[in-house]
Amino acid sequence: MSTADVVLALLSRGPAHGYDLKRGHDTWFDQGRPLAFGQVYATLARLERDGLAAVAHTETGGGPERTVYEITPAGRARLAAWVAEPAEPAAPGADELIRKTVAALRLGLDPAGFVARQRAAHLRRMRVLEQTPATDPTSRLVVEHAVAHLDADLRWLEAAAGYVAADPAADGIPRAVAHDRPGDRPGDSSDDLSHDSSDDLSHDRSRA
Amino acid sequence: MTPQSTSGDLPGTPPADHRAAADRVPAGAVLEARGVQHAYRRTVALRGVDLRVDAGEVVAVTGPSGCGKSTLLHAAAGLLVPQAGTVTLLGQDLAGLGEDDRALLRRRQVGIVLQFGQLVPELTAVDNVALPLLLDGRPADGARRLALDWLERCGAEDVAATMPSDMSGGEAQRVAVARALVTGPSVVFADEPTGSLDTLAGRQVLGLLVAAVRERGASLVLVTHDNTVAAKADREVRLVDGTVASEAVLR
Ligand SMILES: Nc1ncnc2c1ncn2[C@@H]1O[C@H](COP(=O)(O)OP(=O)(O)OP(=O)(O)O)[C@@H](O)[C@H]1O
Ligand SMILES: [Mg+2]
Repeated sequence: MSTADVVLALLSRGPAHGYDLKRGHDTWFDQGRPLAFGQVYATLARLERDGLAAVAHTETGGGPERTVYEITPAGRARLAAWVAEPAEPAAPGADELIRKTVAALRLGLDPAGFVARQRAAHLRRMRVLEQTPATDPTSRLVVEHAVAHLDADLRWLEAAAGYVAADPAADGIPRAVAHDRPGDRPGDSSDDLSHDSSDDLSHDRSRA
Repeated sequence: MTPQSTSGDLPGTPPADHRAAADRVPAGAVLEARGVQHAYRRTVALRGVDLRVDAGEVVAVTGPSGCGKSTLLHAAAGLLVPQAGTVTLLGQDLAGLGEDDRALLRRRQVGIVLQFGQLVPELTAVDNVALPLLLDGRPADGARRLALDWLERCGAEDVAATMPSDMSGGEAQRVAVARALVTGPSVVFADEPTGSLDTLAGRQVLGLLVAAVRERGASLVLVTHDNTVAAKADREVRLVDGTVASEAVLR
């Protein structure tokens, strides 16, 4: 999610100055990091430069002068195009949870303990999120998204532990064949093989 | 819908009665199960399980299908006498009680929502909910009024006059929750139905149950497959293959 797209979305509700937009952003995404003022103004400047937003007028009340921005037709088109395009599903394998789980389970580093600790951490986070009062229907939606992801993580974690429990010895990484197996014929001479048969298993799997 | 007041303030409820029930909640553990073992004809369901629940605590029992959750819940609620181990519920050693005394304890101080077939098929929703009060000798008028009130709290007032066979799974579950809560129990045992309910409907009813239990400071043992439901608990006890695989404080 780019900040510019969200600012444009907020601007489509009607002319607004920077503070309005920051407040709108922070209401929608009240679990996330608040939008910094500097970022709001930098974003508005960029939108204006690109013809997606324009200065509507400047307010001169009692306080300092405030610039009110409005969305342009090009900005509305850009917003519509952004919403029309589905978001990229998260790429697999790039997540710290996945890295840790793979290492703990594949290396047998107290996998049961790892799963239990991770489960507890996820459930605690979920509990906090569930208890978050719904200040605003939009922010509730964002919370629901986070809860659904935690739930998906937990179900995946359980499945992953199940696979590994069924085959605990295999770390899944092919051994350097030239080193370990001069004959390169699995099981042909057990004397050559100082390692256990699980390596054969991981070999076969990696070829499949 | 959230319950607005404690059950002691309900129309038709003798308040003193309910406060007395709440006063009977011991300060420490309301449930203490130790070394519980149970096997069915061909299956070992529990291999020595300890489960302690403190007053006012909500405990989720989770784990894969067939791991022994329902068996543990039945043993803890006194619906089944395990082959080994002890269960102390509200200060009473269940094995030391006769079936009649266990039934009395359940009816007066324990609420139970079972996984399957919980409602009496011959009775309407309101009569199902009033049943535990009637069995306890409460006047029919007051019992029915209180039953209606709990049906309303559980969002099931529309099916008050409906027979179980004509209810959806979600409606039947709401009625079962109302029936478990109507007596103002100190401990509630709930086994999440797995079949007929979609997740959202199931979560709503269980959310309601948790809120009602917390409101009156009762304890709850909640069997569930649903992580988001387990996340409402104060503690998770995870069973795998008849033993406690892990426990986590979530509070
Ligand atoms: N009445 C019974 N007769 C024989 N075996 C039973 C009976 N009830 C349960 N079992 C067996 O005991 C084991 C534990 O069953 P239990 O119903 O306690 O599991 P569970 O964790 O509640 O499962 P689920 O999540 O599917 O409800 C299972 O292997 C089950 O097949
Ligand atoms: Mg069960």
